[in-house]
Amino acid sequence: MRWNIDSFQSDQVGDGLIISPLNCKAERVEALPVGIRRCSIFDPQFYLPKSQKGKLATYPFFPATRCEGLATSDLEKIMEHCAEECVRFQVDSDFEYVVIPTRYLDALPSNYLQQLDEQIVNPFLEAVRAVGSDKPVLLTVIAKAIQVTDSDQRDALLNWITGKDDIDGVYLILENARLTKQIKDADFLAGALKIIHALKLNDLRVVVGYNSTEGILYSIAGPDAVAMGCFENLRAFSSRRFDTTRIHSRSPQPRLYSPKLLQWIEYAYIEALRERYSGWESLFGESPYTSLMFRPDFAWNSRRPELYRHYFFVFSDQVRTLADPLSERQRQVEAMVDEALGFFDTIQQAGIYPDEDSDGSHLPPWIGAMENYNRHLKELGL
Amino acid sequence: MSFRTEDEMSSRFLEALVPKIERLGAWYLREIDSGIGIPDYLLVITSGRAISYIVGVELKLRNWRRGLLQAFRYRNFTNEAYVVIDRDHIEPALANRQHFLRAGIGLASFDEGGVFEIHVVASPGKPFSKLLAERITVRVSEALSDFDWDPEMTSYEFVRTNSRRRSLIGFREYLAKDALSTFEAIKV
Amino acid sequence: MRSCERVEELKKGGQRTAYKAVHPEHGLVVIKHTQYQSPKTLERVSREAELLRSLDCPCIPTLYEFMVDPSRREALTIEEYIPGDELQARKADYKSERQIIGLLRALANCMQVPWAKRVVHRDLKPSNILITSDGRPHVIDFGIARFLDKESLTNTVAMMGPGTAMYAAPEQLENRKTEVDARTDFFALGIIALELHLGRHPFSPEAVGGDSIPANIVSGRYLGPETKEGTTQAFVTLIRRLLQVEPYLRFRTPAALSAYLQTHWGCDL
Repeated sequence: MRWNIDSFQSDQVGDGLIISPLNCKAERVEALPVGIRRCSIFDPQFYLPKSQKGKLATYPFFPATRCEGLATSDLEKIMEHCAEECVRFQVDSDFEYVVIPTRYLDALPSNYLQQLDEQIVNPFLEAVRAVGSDKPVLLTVIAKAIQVTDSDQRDALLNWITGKDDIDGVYLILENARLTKQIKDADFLAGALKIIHALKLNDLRVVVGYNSTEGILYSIAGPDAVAMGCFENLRAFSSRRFDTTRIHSRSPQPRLYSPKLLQWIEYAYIEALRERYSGWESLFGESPYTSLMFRPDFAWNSRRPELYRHYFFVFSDQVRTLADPLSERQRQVEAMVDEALGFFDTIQQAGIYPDEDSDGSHLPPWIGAMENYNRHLKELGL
Repeated sequence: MSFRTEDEMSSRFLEALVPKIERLGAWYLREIDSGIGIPDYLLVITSGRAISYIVGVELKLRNWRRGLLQAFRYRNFTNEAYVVIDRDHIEPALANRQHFLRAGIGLASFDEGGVFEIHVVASPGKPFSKLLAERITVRVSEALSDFDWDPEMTSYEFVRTNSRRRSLIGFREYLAKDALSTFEAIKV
Repeated sequence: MRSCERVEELKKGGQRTAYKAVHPEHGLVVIKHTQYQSPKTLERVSREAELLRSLDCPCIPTLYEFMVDPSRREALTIEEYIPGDELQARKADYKSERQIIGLLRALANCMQVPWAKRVVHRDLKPSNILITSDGRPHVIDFGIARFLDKESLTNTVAMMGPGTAMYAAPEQLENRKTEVDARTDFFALGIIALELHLGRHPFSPEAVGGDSIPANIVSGRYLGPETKEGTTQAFVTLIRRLLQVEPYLRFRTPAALSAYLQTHWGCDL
């Protein structure tokens, strides 16, 4: 989190932080400058309520902290207390919103939404009333892939969310389990756009979390914010991150974000670019970190902060320069995609053959998604 | 007749080429993890106690495209890289030879009878990444553990010692050599 | 009832009969007598009574008394009689767009109090809207009003929940009870408004084909307002939103609906 705070303060990137209790002790959060807390979001991360992973245990309101050996039947009993303490924590810390957490389930039983209401949402709404906060309330929603792509399931989810007149917005997490680093499912991307659009049509604030570069694509539906995840596992949601039984896996390959290519490029191709593609540096944009990283003796590894501080810098700039109104923004994103595809073409012409995680193959689905989304808007006629 | 599995192809490949490789004074190493990929073979040519040249080889029954992408990655730490396809399935790769030419990756075919043919000669050159090339020398030195300490050896760079065996392998950057590539020299 | 005079039967249906009478204390009243067989019926009537008692709104009938006789399995409510004509009889007063919007605005205002208490009428239709002599609409018959905070009484197995099919929202027709909320009433208001605008039921097979009104409602097939010449785009958009098959595409809250009306037709209606 230190890099995030530094980048936010010294590089003036982003508009706030999303605080992850998994990675940050409660006392550290409380010690953050109030100016940072006021424009930040606290993600309670009740995804796996039995988890005691990381620093979750430093938060007394976290279910597993409150009740060791937590069983599902205990959850409803203790949630009232957890909710009130969690809401109070967020209000006393003066975060921008009060965030209602959610629970992650692998499979969705037919009464999934009702269960969420009973186990978490209603206790938290009650706690907000009891605490008497006037901060806007965000409801965390994990939309699983089937809920994003299947219209009936998407409708049911949207009806559920929008039927709650005591929330002000949604902290939206779009789950897409995939083997590639980027989402390449045009139907999923289109479904995501439709969800964001529907929420905005209902005047709800939308903060998209755990996204990667597709945050640029999502922007055409008008969300209020998209996330910039530091590491790879923060740019795609997975419950495994919260699972204490998970064995630590190998560090990923170092990658660097290219705003021109709308992609993180693996180091294995950066040296090939240096060798064979003139003007290669311009693909990565300018940041205070490029001159260091592009020195031949720079020791590339995935834990180097420069990689992520560079990303914060250039991605933040990309998002800030997105056009308004949304129709204009979509044209701009289309142009960005066309330009990126052009670059990928010249990269290949130069004899560089990146694999499917660095070759821009996620971009044609963006085009497909935008076409699908436009047809949807036309059909809606609203 | 086609190979049934890549393992079968690999065994036959080794059988046919080992004598040629050894005549050249090269070493072959199987499935060394480079950190960014595991080549089926690394052909390592040493000069004294230094590694002077590395060729990466990727065997594929038919998936030339996957082979090309993998072999291209190996160019981060090799001087050349080749994709060797089962001869019975070489046609699609040949129809796309322009990609191999453009990438500078060699394309060869091999069959059960031991016939090995190079269709596109790899472009030799420096490894793209000094960092990854240095790392592979550590891995290679661990594999080639027969070398003894030789303080007379001049190596381009000292990378790391294998403390247990006190081997010292350096990697000397190899600039472009003459037209005939090393791999071509060992073809059947 | 014995203390009332000039009792005349108004409506009889199912377990309930409604009478108009003159009450010695309250004047003209509506007496609803319910004969119940099961406790569920009693609970339904009790609910309506509880609802009416909790609402304090000039355009919803005041509940004066509520009595139960368990030995006879009878329940009795005495509520304010609203002297007015059903909307159907006064449709000539709502021909122009501005007049229809005025009616919508008044109905939305009427329903603010129940909606704020999370009560959905679920049976808004022209015969449940009375226009008094001063032109003010009143909403009656909260008989099947749903308390969102309490467990629903209706049979979850029923393919179609209670409510009149002609003005029911898709979620009612498909008995998707968890999706019934104020937006369900918005749908009914949309049908009422459009019917006045076009002079015919917009979902009828005669207007748009299809098998039946309920089938057309569920599939979102209706005669659009733009088919009448001179319809403004604002009205078209209003109807489109009110008649969306999915609740999440309608106005989200009563305030959002009011804001739309205010923005496009001002506050002088």
